Amino acid sequence: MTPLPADPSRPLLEVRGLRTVFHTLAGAYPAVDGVDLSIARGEVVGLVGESGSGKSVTGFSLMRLVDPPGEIVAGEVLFEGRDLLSLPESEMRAIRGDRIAMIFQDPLMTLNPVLTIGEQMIEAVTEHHGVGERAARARAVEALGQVGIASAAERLRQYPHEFSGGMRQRVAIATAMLNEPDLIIADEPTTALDVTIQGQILHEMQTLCEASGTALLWITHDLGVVAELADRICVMYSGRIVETGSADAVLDAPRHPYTAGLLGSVPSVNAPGTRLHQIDGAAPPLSARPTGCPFRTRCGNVLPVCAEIDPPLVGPVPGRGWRCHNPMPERDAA
Amino acid sequence: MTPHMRRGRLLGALAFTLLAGTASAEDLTIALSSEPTAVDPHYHDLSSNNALTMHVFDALLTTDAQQKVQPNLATRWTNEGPTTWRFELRDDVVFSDGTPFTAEDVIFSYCRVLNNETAVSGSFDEAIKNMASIETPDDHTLVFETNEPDPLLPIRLAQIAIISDEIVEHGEISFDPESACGVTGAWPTVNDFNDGSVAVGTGPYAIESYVKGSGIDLVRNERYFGETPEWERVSFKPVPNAGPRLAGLLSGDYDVIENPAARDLSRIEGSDDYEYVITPSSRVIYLQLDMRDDSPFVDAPDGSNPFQDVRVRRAMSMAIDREAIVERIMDDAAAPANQFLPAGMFGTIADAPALEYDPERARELLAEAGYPDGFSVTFHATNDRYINDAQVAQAVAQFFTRIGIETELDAMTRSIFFSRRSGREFSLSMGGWGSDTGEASSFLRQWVPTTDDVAGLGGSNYGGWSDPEFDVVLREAIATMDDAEREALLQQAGARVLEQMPYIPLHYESTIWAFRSGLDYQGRADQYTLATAITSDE
Amino acid sequence: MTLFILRRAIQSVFVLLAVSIVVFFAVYAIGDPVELLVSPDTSAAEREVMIRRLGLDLPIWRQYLVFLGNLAQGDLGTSFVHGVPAVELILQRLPATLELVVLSLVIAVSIGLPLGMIAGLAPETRTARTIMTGSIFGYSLPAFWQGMMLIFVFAVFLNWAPAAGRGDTVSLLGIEVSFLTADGWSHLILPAINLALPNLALVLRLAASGTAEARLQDYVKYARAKGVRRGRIVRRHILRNILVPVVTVIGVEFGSLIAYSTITETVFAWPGMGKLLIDSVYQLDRPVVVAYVMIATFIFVSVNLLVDLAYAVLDPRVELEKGAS
Repeated sequence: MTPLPADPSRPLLEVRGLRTVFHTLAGAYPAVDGVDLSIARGEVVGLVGESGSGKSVTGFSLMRLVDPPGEIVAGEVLFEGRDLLSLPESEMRAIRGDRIAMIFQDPLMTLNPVLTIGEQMIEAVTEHHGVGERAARARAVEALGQVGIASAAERLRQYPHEFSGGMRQRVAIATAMLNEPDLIIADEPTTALDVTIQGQILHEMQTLCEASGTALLWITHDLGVVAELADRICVMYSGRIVETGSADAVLDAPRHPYTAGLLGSVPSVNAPGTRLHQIDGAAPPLSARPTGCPFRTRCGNVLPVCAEIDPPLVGPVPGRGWRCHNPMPERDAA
Repeated sequence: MTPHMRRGRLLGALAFTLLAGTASAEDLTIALSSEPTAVDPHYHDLSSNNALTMHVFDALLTTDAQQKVQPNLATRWTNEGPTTWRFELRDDVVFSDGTPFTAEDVIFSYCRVLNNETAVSGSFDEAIKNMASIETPDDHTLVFETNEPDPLLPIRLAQIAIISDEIVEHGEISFDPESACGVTGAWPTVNDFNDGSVAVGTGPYAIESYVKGSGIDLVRNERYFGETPEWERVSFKPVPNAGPRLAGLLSGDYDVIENPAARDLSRIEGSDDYEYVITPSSRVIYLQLDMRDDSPFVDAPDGSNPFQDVRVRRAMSMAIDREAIVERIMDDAAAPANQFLPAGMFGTIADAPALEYDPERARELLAEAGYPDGFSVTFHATNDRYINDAQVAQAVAQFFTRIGIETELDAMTRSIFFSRRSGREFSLSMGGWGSDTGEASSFLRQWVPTTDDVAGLGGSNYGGWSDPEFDVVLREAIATMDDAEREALLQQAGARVLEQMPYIPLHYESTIWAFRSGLDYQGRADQYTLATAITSDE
Repeated sequence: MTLFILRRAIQSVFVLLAVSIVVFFAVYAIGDPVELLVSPDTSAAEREVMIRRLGLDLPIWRQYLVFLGNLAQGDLGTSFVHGVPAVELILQRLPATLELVVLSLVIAVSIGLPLGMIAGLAPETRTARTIMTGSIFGYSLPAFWQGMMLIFVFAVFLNWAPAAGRGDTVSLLGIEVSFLTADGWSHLILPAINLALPNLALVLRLAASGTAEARLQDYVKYARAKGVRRGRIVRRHILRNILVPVVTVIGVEFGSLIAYSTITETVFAWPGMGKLLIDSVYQLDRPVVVAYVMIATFIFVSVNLLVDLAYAVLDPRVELEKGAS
């Protein structure tokens, strides 16, 4: 199927009703339970949620990298108008690493310890384009330079264990950018790094993506991280998007109690000295989802109706919405 | 070779035969059950080595399939007094390299035996050490003067191969051991023979290659003085394990194999493609009893050694069903023994009665001897030296136990057995003995006489048997030059042993050869496999 | 690297010395070789000559010192049975054993590794289960039986190959080798298969379990995320990671096969070293046994060193110098 001509008004990526389940002995549990998402060209979207919310699985589902016992069972993932979920594997492979790239959480585990950095970067190029090894190597050197790694040519001959954590993640970023992808999915890329390095990496990614017009889906549990970076924020809970909107809107005036709770617990968002809020309880395990709204067991705004009816996504304008029967009151922009 | 291929070759061979008489261009491949350890004919007196030697070298005399002495390089030999012998040699013999064979080569060969530093001691030198002098009235006559009379000199000389004196530097060769017999250069070593450089003989074949572990290739000696050998090339392949050896015959890789297991013969029995022959050998399997008062492994109620009583010994012999052993354990590849060498060979008792199997009488004898409730004994045997030795020993142990002698069997590997036996550690043990001289004195002088190291008698008499009556007869026998007299004396000595039973004979082993049909081999009593005696009947 | 090798070499000398003491005293304490060699009718005087010539009249520790002295001059003793230097006997057979072992390991790896990887990449499939079950036969059926079966099927019944022995040899750099002739190959193939089967099973199972584990690793997922083709993932990413255990096994097996492929050599009458060892033990040919064990130890030690060096190449995280190997 030939790609549709790039239409700037169309979203780059449009996800509709994505469902990904995990098959267990006791049944199939939905890790991603009807997710809708869209990313525009060059846009930075933050996908926020705690562990178990399904955010990483969402990211892998977009890449069709979900392995058994997981399985994508429903939905559409339209990338430039084409549904990725119905592509033959060979075409999907061609897209991975070339049009959509991914950055994983822990680069020590994700880089093969017995192969050189150079080989692992070069293959990202040569597996997609018919360029020779030398040209690919040159590209890799340039990319490393862009992420601030000195003596790039030498470094290419080294092995992952010879790099520090932050350097390795830079390498991952450089690798992701090698083929100038349209979208980068970054799954908690700074979680495993020192706080000091985190900031640097964040900054670099922001700069790079802006410069090249690459869209970025930043998956994280840390609202504070996306606060600086994202254009739009989607909050995930128990397999669904519970709130979505522009970063300003969501951060300044969260409507979903969970989002509000998250914000209350983020140090950087709250005024110094303010007591940090903790959301009581923990997310329900996949196997024990309560009926109605999954958040009701921890919600301060809970109403009887919450136990019966699963709240739909409602909102004032397209692109702004929340799933709550009893949302937080509107606040004036601060 | 497949039958198809054989037919093709048969036609070819027939055509060739019409032109060339019996000699053909065919090769023969023989699988050996044990590998010769050297090419040097004087290195080690082992059957496998000796068999190889007979292909490449000749001795003054040779032994035939019944181990009887026949002329070879010597045409006539006469005894001119108890210690004097005259041998007349052929004058038409050349070595495989063309040099003529003379009496000098004989003297050199015998001197070499005395100067063979690398040989295993005691190999081949018994006769030479008995030589006082060797004279050569002419190039083809030898006169031997021995120190002691030795009626067996011819057969001993039949075992010593003649090598060419051209392989060393020498002056005038004469039998003078004190001054190296006239040899000026270095004496040849076992290694020199192995690489073929000095392995020059007068025999029907010459060595083409000798690769340890892999095989020996012989090529026909066109200068051989005797009947032209049928096979142009002979390959010996060492295949010590019986299973693969048989498989090689069945797959056509080998034409002849040594010693297939008797129970594998059923595989060949029904087939038209293979045949086998079972030939009696001179090897007897027997039991040795300890006569010491305090025998280590015998336990009688009164503390005595029951083996000292002839009735006990006879009882033990009667307890054994030799027929059953031969039939069921040896698969008929054996014959029950009634003396220590098969009848018909020199010095054996003609028509000796079979040793009866009568367990009832055996019990009676035991009681008469004062052991109504029997006694107990540990029986020692090998489990890897003689054919089915462990099973035979088990059967014997059971036979003894049935008449009241509680017998426990301890079968062990040969390297431990022989050491312990010669250290006199056993009370009752099983052994085997093949006569290398093809006559009765071989066993009788080695095992039975009171041990006399100087005279070389009773060297294996570990049980300490001592019978003056026997000793007298035997000593006389081995010094008697007249064949008829000697035979009578040997028979007398043999009868005495059977009467006293310090050794209990069990059976004579037979040797089995299997080969593809179209070939014929009669086998030999000395168990050698000779390519010269393998004929094709195509 | 050189320091590492040097240090290893020195350690090896100590190992060899220790081994020599153990085997020497063990072998020389058993049985009486002279008894097995000389015919029973040899006189006591002549036995003495033999005993003295073989040096067996000296107390055992003196014999060991004589042995060491000779060793320093490169002489590992003379065979009691064959009368030629023990080293010569052994080295003469080394090429035969070597070509058999190398061929068998090549077979084991070239079949076992791919099959194992196939099974490991999709462990739940029928193919994988068949492969894994089949591999059990490889190492549980006794080698002797397998060898005889091979002979009976391929040599006797089908007549595709000879039943036993080594084929025609040609001289390569002074060494007789049989793998350069067609006849040599026809003789090599059955014993090589016989020797290869248990190792094939071993390599296969190692590769299968290694692959099954590797394919779940993050770096494989990451490579897929980069769009790397499956073939390259298997060849470069997974294979390189499972090679370390496979190389270890091959190394250990190589040494062990060189020294002790006795059963195969017996069944196929292959003129190799293993058979020589067994025969020498039986015949109490002590110098050959001692020389053999020394040479075998030397081979093991060398192979061990090569394996460690291979690790350094295969896994860049391994450091040789810190003495951690």
